[in-house]
Amino acid sequence: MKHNRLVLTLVSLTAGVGLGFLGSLLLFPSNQMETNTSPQISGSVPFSEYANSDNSKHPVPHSLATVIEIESPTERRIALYQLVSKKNAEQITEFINQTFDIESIQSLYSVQRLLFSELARIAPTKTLELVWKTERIRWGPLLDVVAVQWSLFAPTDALRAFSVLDEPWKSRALTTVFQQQDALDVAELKDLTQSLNITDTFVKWTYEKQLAAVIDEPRKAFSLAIEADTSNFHRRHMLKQITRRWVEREGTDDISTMFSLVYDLFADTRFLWSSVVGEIAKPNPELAWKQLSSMPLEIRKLFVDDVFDEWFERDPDAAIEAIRTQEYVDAMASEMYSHLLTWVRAVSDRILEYIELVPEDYKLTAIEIAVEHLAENSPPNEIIDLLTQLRLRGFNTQEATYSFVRVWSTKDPLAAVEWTSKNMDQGPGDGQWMLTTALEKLALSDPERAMEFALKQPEESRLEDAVIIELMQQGEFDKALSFLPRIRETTGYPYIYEGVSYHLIVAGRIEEALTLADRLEETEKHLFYSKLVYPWLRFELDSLLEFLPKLPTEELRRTVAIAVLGEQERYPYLTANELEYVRSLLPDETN
Amino acid sequence: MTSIVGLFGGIVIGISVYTLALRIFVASDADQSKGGSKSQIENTSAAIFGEHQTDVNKLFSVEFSYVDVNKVIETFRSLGPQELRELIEESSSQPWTSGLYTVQQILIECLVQTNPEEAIASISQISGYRRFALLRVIFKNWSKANLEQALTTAADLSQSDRRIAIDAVIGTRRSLSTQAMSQLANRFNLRSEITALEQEIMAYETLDEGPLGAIELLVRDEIDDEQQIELYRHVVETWFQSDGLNIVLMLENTGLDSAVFSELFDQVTQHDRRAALAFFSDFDEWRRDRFGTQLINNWVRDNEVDAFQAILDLPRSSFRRSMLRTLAYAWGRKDPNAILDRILEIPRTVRDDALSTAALELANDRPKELLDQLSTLRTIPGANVDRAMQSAMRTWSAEAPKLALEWIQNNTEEGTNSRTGLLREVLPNYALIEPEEAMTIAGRETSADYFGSRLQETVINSLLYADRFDTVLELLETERVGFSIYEYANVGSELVKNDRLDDAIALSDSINENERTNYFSWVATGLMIWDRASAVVEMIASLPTSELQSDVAEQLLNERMITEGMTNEQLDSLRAFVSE
Repeated sequence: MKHNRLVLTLVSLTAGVGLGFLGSLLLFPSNQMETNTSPQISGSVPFSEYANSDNSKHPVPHSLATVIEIESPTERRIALYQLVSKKNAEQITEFINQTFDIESIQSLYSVQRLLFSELARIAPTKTLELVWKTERIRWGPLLDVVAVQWSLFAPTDALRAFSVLDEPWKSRALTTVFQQQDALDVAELKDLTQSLNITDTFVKWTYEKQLAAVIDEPRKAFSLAIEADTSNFHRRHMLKQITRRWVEREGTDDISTMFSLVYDLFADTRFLWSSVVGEIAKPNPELAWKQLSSMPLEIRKLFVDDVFDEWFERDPDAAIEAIRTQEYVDAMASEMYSHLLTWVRAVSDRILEYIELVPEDYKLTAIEIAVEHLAENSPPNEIIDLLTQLRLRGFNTQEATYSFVRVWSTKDPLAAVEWTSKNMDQGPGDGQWMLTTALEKLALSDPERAMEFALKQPEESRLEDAVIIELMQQGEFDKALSFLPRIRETTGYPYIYEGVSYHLIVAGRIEEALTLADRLEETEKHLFYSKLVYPWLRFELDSLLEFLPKLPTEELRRTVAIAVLGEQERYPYLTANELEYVRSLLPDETN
Repeated sequence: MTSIVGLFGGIVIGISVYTLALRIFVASDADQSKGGSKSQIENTSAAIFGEHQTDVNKLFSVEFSYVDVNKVIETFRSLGPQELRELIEESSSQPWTSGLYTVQQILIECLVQTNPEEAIASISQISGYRRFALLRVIFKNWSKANLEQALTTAADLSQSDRRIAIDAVIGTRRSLSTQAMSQLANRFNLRSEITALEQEIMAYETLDEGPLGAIELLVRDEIDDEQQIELYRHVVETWFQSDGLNIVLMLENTGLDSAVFSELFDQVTQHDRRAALAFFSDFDEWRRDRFGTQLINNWVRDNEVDAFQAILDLPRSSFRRSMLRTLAYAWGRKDPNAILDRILEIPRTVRDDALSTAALELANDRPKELLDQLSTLRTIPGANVDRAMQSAMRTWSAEAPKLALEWIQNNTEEGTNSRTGLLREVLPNYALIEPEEAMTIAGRETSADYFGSRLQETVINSLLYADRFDTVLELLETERVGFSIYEYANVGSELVKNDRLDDAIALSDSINENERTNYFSWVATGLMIWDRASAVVEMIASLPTSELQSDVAEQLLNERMITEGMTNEQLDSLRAFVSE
């Protein structure tokens, strides 16, 4: 009987426990526990309390379109939260997809942003994919939303995902994570970014953070930017940020004090002051010019070009007037060329009109700058006309014509060569150099034609040598060597061999260089070998020491050894042991 | 009875166990998901939000739900601007969570509706980027309610805030017509911001037709390239996907600002720097060296060892050698101690470049130790120790010329080329503090077979460069012997350039009479290098005799530099000096 009662008690107890669990499960559903196993899905959970929410005030909206139409941002936010409540990632994704088909109205973007924000908390990877399905103009802002949310609960995953994006999104998203996350310290970030190969972005962000702390102390901030181990573009960005902030805070009444500090910090840098001076001068370049004019000469010389550029941008006529005075020209002659570059390039299409404004000593330089600038984009005939008009007005255009041909030959070398060969008198000197320049460009695009043309020119011009050397220079060795038998005989030593062998040796083609000697007369070979020594010693010393004892005759070995010792006088290529070895190859009387 | 008691007891136990399990699991997950203890967060939020803590607490905990958000919104909407502002201000010191960010946005939205200026003031304590995000929220909402007021306020903000505010306003107003945008731009002086937006849209449209067009559009516009760098990056990335490394050449021809080009070049080549190096090796000499140098400099910045190996793997060529040299310079600058430690690994052909760069970098920190260390490297093939020491002296003597000079005098052998080479670096700096002594040392020390410019000339040039003309004239007066006519002419042209024509003419008295025509011709040549043709004409006009004027003018008229560098008017003036 006792046994039966015990069994009955246990059965009742078990049934009670079962019923208790069942009742609890019904009354207090455990969905919170299920959905919160991952930190990614916290915050976007359907709740039982929702049933008790004050729906009388805010009825659940029927569709996304209804939400978007709500004018009040707060009402819209409430409605949207009601709409996405109890929705899973697929359902929110579907809402986002719907926004792609809705015609752009004012509140669409804010709804889209909230939807991305909500989805990012549940399924960040999926959200990131959706970013690229929006209009391009929305990629940046929506990527920011994803990056902010993701960085708050799983920064490591976020960095990993963003590290494989293309630029500029990669840098943008990574920077947002660095800015927003609190979970990882600097050391952890350093290790992580190194393993993900995103050190570059991390380093930039680190500098930006340091800069934010000192940006209102120009000396410290500029020093940080100058010494930062970052790209030049980023450094320039930092310098501009500091300067804008400085100018905004202190105004530009006392530019000379600002320039003094900049000179103090930047004088020893390589033109880093340029963007700083430009930013200081920008709000009032005329005042900047005026204050700079009364500063010490070394500061003026360093900064005047950047101030002029800003002034010219704002008021070209006034800026030009300032640099035309004889007093200015005398004091700042070394800066005139860079002033002219800014000025003349801007007015190059009206150079005939402006040339009279240019100070006398700089007129020819101005013409050259204008012609070179125009030659980049204008038809050759227009430039030729311009040169003719300038000549008719009494200007010497030889250097300008050379500049024109140089630019033209990069675009249409054959036309440039043909024109130049008929207008040699218009270039500097006898025009030979101008023709050579054009022909070298033709050699690169049409070597056969260039060689044919060269061989038709007077023998003393040796233009075929120029064609061959240009090809060697550009690494077109086989083509150049195939032309070698076609060169015309010359009186005396054919110096083309010096150039050809030089390039072969630099490229490590020693045996081919040595074979060139077979094409020469016996009497020329010694000169050939001694000319070979400089590049051989400079670029292929080991092979020189290897080949030296193998040279065919003792006399040649002697010639080369003497040339080696001669070069060694100018530069210590050889170690003491090597030097001794070379000396040992010489007969006693020479040694 | 037994079964009823058992059943009831079982129910009680079942409920208790379930509840306990639920609490344990949920609490544990909540702590994990928020990265801190629940009680801590609750305490914190209670401190911020006072009577609203119950709803707000839930936002920070696992129980965060939209129902709670909506309740909070309801509560917040009933608060006055001052209360809202206080809540926002207090929230600024709280740990950053998703919930806090949401709550801050809601508080801002509520405050903007009643008092937008208060909203701006309320976020002043929030740090950096988070403040910017909330500023954006303020202006998005404000501009929807009152566009004109929002823009008027935005225009008066600081530059960085103004940019964010205007961007937020424009972002919400993208549906406006071009005409409406234009009106806004004119009324609120927003031309540059509106143009930037229009450009961005246009660039994306153009990008669909072809990346080159999009780049050209960005190059042509008047917006600062720095502000458009993301757009550039995007276009270039899209372009790279279709045309690979070829785009480097095309980019080069678009007329991009050089700094922007460099940045984009780095972006493109980072896809595969080894492939880029091989790709550039086929370019013409000028381009392959230019692009290669840029690539190696960037590569060394990130990983010098990989860059080194990639260059070593190139076939022998002038390009390979040129890249090795670039690497030696870049690596020597980046980590000079590493270069000294690994000098034997650097190929012999560029070893002296690496050593010299490292010496240049290290000389200020530990000059004497460095010079001793360099001396021990003489047996290493290709390590041109003299050149490295000269580099070290260049750096050291700029800071401490006297100490550097003493080191040379105490540690090198008189009359050797090695000593002369070091003096050549130090004396120009020493001349600026002790010109006479520098000149005396220069006269005494020049090695007979030294290959390079004379020490005295370097002293004179250093003083000329520092505009110490009187000192130069005094030194020339006392050290007359041994100066070539070219050296005198160099001083003469510097004097003329610096408005001291009389001194330049007087200097000719130190020269043999039969050399004076040559002297003035050389002075004229020196002036022509600096485009000072007028000064040449003026100088000839000032010469003491008409015979000298005629001789110099006649000689110059046979110089190509003169005839090609002077205007016809100036040449006529020159001809007028020539006697018939």
